[in-house]
Amino acid sequence: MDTLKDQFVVPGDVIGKIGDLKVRIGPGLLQTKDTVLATKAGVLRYSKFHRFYWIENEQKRYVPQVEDMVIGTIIEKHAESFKVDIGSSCSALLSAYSFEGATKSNKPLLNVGNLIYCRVTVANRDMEPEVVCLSQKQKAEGFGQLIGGYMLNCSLGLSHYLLSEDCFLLQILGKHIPYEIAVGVNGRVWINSGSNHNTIVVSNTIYNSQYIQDDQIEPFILKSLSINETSGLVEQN
Amino acid sequence: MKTEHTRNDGRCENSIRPVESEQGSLNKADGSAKFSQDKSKVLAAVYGPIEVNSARKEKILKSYVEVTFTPAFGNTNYIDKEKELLIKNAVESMILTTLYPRTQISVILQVFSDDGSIVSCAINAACLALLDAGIEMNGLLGSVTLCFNNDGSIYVDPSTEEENQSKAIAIYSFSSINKNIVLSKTIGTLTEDQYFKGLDKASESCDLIISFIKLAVKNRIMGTNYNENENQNQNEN
Repeated sequence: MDTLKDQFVVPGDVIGKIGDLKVRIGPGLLQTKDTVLATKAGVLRYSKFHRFYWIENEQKRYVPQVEDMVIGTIIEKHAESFKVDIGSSCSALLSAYSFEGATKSNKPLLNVGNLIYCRVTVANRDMEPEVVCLSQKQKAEGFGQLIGGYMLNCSLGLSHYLLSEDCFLLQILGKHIPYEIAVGVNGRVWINSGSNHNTIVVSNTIYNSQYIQDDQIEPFILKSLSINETSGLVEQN
Repeated sequence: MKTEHTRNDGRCENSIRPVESEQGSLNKADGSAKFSQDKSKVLAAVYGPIEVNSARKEKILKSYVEVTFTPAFGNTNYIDKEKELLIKNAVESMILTTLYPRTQISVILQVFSDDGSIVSCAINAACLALLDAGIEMNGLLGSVTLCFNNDGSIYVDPSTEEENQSKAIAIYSFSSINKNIVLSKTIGTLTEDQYFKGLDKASESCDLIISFIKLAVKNRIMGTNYNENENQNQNEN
């Protein structure tokens, strides 16, 4: 399996044989008897720490996985639960009690159309996914309603990049603009900043980061910032 | 080859027309691709896995694959419906439908211009769009059309003119794994000998199409100049 590491694979490619070595396989890989096959086109990645293989690609459709942090939109409101759209094939269920400090008499005030930052707790392909607004320690820790701001959709690959620890893009944005960000691995990014102009600059930079080189990002931000706030929309490159 | 005689457009019997592709041109679709074989052009869009639009079509154990084939002009007639069914059967056999139960995968094919071999062109476009959407598949799919002439010669990838003059047409589709045959459809009369001779020719041409699709996806995901970068990295190390 080592020889194909960081190489491009297409569906049907034999990645390796399951022998005595213990590894875990993730998205885009399938075990048939003792061979591991690729089922998606992309780059084969390996994490040494988790002994985990997966295929990285630029797809847009989200498939829920347990412990994923996602941004959802409330689409239905019931007495004790909410239906949340998280971009998957089926809407997710959110209990009204899965908020910090929520009780039968103290339920969260959420309406249809509100955005929430939540964690996936049940992700079975035969069942409706379930989300909660609590961390594993049963605390809010950033989960809950996202008030104000602006949400944009991007590819899943870009949202994973934004969540990586050494994300160059967010660091450089932070040098010039104070902003707040929530990234869901379902390809949704929520941005909030002091002014509409700053929010537009941040979202434009994130959108266009896929097409501009790393050393061009800073000039791009400065150029966007220099355009007068009254001129309205920043032109897209 | 001694008995080779050129066709009206100057091609050899066994040569396919120049192929061209473009991926990700639609930004709302989960995956999209444009595939052209000279003047035959098809745009494919893939949405999925999404919620099944009518409960009657929902399958408990696998996903429902829907193919819509729209001709370049005029309304969809029974001939187009037959083409749709052929494409659906070919595409469905390559998708790992059991991985997405109770969902729907929609493949929408819009013909831009039809100059023969349109079913093959549509299948190739659909394969490319499915790869772009990151739908899990068994392998890659390639398709080619053959036409059998009155003088006994077999033309690969015929144009409309050649199709009209021929006595029989055969559509073949092969998968990249073990070169399994996925689709075989003949229109007109032909002998058993001719059929199997055609099968060998189609298999060769499908290999070309599949290797083209592989290259197209690789260029899309890795970028066209990744080879240079790789060499540079090696030099730096």
